[in-house]
Amino acid sequence: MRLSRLVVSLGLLVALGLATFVGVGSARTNATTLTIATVNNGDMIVMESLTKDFTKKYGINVKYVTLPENTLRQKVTSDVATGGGQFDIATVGTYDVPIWAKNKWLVNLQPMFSPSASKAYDLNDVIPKVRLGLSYQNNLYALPFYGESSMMYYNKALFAAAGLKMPLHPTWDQVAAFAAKLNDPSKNQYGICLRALPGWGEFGAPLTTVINTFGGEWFNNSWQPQLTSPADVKAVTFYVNLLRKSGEPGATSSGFTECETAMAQGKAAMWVDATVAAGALSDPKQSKVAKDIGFAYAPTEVTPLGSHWLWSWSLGIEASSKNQAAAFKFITWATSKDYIKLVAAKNGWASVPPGTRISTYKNPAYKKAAGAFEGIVLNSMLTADPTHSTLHKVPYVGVQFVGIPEFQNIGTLVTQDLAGAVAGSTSVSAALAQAQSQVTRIMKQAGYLK
Amino acid sequence: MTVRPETLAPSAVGLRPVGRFGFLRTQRAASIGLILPALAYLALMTQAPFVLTLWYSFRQWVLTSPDIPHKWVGLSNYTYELTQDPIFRQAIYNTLELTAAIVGGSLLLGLAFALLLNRSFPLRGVARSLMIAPFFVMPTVNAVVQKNLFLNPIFGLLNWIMTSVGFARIDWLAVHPKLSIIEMAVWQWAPFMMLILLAGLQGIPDDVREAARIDGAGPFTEFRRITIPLLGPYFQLAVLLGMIYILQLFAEIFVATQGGPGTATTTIPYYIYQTISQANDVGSSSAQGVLAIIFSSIIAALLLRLLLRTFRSGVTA
Repeated sequence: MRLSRLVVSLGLLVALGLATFVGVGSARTNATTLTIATVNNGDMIVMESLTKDFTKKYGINVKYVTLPENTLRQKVTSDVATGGGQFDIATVGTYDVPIWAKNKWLVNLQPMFSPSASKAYDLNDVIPKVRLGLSYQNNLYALPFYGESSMMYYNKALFAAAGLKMPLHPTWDQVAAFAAKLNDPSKNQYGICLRALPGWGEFGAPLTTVINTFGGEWFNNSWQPQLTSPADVKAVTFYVNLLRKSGEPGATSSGFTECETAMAQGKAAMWVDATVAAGALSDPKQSKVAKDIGFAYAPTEVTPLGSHWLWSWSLGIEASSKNQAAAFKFITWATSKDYIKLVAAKNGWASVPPGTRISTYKNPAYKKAAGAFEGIVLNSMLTADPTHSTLHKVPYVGVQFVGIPEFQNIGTLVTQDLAGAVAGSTSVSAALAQAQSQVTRIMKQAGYLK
Repeated sequence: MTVRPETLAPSAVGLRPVGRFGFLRTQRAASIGLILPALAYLALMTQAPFVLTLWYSFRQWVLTSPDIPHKWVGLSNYTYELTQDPIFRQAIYNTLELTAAIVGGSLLLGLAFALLLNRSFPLRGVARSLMIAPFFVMPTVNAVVQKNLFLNPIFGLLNWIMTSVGFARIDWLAVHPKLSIIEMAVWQWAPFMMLILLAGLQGIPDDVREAARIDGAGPFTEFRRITIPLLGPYFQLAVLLGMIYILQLFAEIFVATQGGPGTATTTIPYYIYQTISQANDVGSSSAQGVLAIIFSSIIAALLLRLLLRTFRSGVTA
């Protein structure tokens, strides 16, 4: 009895001791460890697998926290807003960077680029529009990891079978006509796949480009919401009717991934979405229609302004980070020309992170691997201007979003209302009326409207 | 002349210490003093999140808009949620509707399974284990599998079966979102109800049944007059436990419908999550959280009283 009690208490003591010393031991490693919060997109996963090269070169360890986009944004926002210091580097988008820079949540990278550092990194090689999107008051706050615009994907085989030809610069009216002819639900084939999953970054992105190109806007120059203006109503009604008539079923659950799957499986004849899908759709290992996929510019209607978006996932350093110099080394490594060459050596030129450097698009090996679409992608990115993306003058920047902190909430609420219209449970006018009143209330509470 | 006997214990009057702080020198004070640190720690650990939520609910704080002043606003968050926010009131209604449907549905299904499993048949143990299995599937996994493999309008199993027999395709999650959520949750919670009711059924003594049969009761009468009333306490337990958990249903809604389309499946937990993660509004979401606690307590109290009354009056001798 006494011996077993002794054994038990000794065992507990050993366990407690181990726990204490393990805790102390792990806090005492000499190498710096950076913590990076990133989205779980393909290119980021490749970056994670190549990080051992970085650690070998600089001796800095990197710990990855990979999360879906909405969760990532929420976690990193609460971390920076409360000064938590949990992450050193965060993956941020062109929406977040100017807002976070204004709130002083990101480190200003401009002073870290001495003339020699800027030359070694070749800062001028970064695509100017992308650089502009990641700056605030002419200072750069994040380095672009990959950039994208939006374009039209279509199934050449289905088009040829129906005797139709897709022009290089289609209009939305032409697209609606094609979709009606190619829609065949009995064969489980649908004219067009468009996102309608609620979310400012999901449904909101293509919807905003349609609103822009139909001549509408989110807010007029006095910040009054324009959701019930004639141009906006026309644009939204067009999008909803197109989906209801010739769109994929389950549209309200279809985001980027679902539509990419439908397109790759040959279930949809057309898809207007991010240019990053071009590589995956052309890869025979990932796509059933790799031989038949065709590319065109994003459709326009009244104006080409704002018809295709501009987005870049970038790496920024949190202001509360204690390892800013090491973090700077990492972000310059992951966005450098050498990194792009590393990915090309490992996975081929068609899967390098696109849309960041002009040199990528001048590289003959890249042109050979991605020739079918890289011209359209580069031109789309060069012509997407976040400061001029609407027919009328507006007080905000952003092509497929409005660059104010409240837009995350506004965009998601409005897309939720409109998803109800796509599903058929409300009419477009009722959904827009509700959206308009919600947005007006939010703008009043935030102080934009009196 | 009677002699008043001395009580066995000496009079306590003389033992109490005198003076203003006399109490502090007693044995009782010493005991309380020794327990107090542990009690304070316990109070802090269990109440700190609630107290902080309560504190934040009286303030205005939007994480992504540091321009909006971070100040005390009293009850204005509460009045906004209860009187002006259209989504919160819709969320209350949706929560009630979904909870009632899921608890009711899984209770009925659980009762049916429990009745079937109550008689002995070969491989009964295997059947029981298989029936319990859905309860152990993680809710997120359940929702993802059902959304993508069963309910998907293009690739889903259910639509494939329907189109094979000639029906039209239905986009379940868009056209019948509440029904889809109810189906996912009932599939998962029916085993839970079944376990509780099975325990109750096996507690009904055989001699009561025999007596009823001798008196000429058929199976339905036996069910109505003996089984149901004797299962009374088990129904109460099942409904109460089920309701506590199902009021908090989140995973299915988050994964499958994201509260939509529109606000068709936005429940209170999901709306609180949206307010804090989308609008980054700490004040409003804390107020919603406190209101949710008040609301669930009211529902639980009402339900308990209703059940007690029903089954107390319903038990026959």
